[in-house]
Amino acid sequence: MSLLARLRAGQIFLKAYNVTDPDHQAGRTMRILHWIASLALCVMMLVVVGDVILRAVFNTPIQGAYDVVSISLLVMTVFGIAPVVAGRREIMIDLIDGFVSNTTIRVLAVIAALTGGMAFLFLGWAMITPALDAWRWGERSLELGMPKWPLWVVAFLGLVGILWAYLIQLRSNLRGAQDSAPGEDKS
Amino acid sequence: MSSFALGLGGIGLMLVMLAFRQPVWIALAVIGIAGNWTLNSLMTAKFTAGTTLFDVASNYNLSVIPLFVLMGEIASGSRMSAELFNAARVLLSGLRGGLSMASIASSGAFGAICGSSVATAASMTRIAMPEMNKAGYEPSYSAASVAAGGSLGILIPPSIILVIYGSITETSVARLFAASMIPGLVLLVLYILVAIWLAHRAGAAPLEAGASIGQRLSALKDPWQFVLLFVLTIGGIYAGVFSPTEAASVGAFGAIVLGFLKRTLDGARLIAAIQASVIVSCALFMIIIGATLFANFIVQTRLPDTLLQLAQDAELNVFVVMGLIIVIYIVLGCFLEGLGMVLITVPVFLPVVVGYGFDPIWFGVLVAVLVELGLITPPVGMNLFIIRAQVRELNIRQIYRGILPFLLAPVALIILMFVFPQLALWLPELFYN
Repeated sequence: MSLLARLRAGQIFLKAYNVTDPDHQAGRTMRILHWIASLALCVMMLVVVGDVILRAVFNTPIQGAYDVVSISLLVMTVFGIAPVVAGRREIMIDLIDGFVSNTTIRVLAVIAALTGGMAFLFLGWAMITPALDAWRWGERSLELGMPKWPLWVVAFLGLVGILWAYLIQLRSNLRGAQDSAPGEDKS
Repeated sequence: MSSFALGLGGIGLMLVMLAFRQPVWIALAVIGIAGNWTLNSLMTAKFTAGTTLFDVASNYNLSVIPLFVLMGEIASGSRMSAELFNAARVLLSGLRGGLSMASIASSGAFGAICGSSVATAASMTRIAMPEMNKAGYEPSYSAASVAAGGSLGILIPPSIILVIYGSITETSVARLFAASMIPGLVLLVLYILVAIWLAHRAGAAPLEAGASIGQRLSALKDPWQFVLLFVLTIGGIYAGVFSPTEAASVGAFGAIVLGFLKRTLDGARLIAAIQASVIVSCALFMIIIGATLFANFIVQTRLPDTLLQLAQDAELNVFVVMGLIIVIYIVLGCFLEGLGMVLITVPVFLPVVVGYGFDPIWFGVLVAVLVELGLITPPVGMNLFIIRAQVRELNIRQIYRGILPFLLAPVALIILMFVFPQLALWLPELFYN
């Protein structure tokens, strides 16, 4: 299968978040978010390289490269966190795995998904005021003088994706907890 | 309850959350938010949290993180790390524990173009672990070699931790990169000495056949693109041609071009590298967000100030104070993730260290060594978990057992840095004074 066909089928991106069915709605959403984050990373790299080359060769740096990099970083981060969450790639310590049952691990994973989701809900609630301030007071970026409120909208869109990812994680953990029969316990 | 007790309680609760499989970012963020709420009010906690995600996610200075991660992932995806390992294994063949030494040496070299300890450890686990298993190396010994070697990425420039240290202390990243080079190389040698010592235990590492001189000379030619990338990125920073973000971008782009020219990189691998960089970087950014919230709470409790005040009231001399700081770092490093540890501790300790007459650049390198120590210190050494995540058949307790002797190397380096501060200060003085 060609690279393009594999990309269309989502086989490359889906490996990252343990979603194997490309047609699955959750997988498709995460795939789109991961695409956006990846493109933002590429833009970040290319803008800086372009800036360096143009500055060195023609002494004309790209106007607003600083802003583009900051915006790309924001897009990459807010859209990239969702695939991390959906794939349960958050960094954690699994010291107790050898001492507790599978069911306990599943329950702790459910708690982590709930806590993580609630933490991001809190962050989202807390972000409303500074976002509204940015809109009301017309905050602008440093180099290009772009209004900042659209960037807050981007951050909120990413946040919706993150919360969606936590729902995926929670559902997956709950299913695992139900499937974990007592006979499967490691202890 | 006093703020001091609240701070201590918050740290204790955070450690409990970490022990009960809560992701690091959640433990930091939840304690940060809840602590701030308890100490002040819900509205204060909300106000603090409101801009944290946005500010961290759009901080230009932090853009160097995903770009260096991308450079490291592309270098891994284009088998550059494999070529380094293969060259090192040929050069060190015929020595007992040669593969282990090769993994440490190639990790150090790979760290010089990668900047991420995580990426170095992950890459070397994939490349070196199967080879060492095939050769009959003791699994705990091979895993520990990879973990120790992988941690060199944090000290040998470019180092993401040093970039973050530079941004929060307003010290020159270029000077920090120059300062960390010699200590990084000394640590590499120390790790190799430990590996040689351990290799001579019965059954730890079988002796392999040595390569001919011709093969050894030929092996030196293979990783030429590594030299090119190193000169381009670190050389560019040393020469003042590039800022760290520019060096990382140029390095990542250069790695892509070299990968395609050498046909070791194709479209699928490039996409996989970009995809992996996003995942790794965002996982790190989640921790930075959590650590920022946690640091805000800890600073408000004045816990670090109180602890330092206690030390000053006791009229402790400079070495006792530095010893205490190091012990605090080592203890924190046993439980905390490196980035969070730097974000929490450096703003508190740096004024004291400078006040006692130490150079902030020297302290930056010391912090990097201590974070590096934390990366391989049980129970929370991240490199140990990176290996554990990739080699599922390996028990975490086996890795813990294997890593203990390697901890002697960074401890020895810390002592050397106190005895010979020029280890860290000579190169910056040479380049920039």
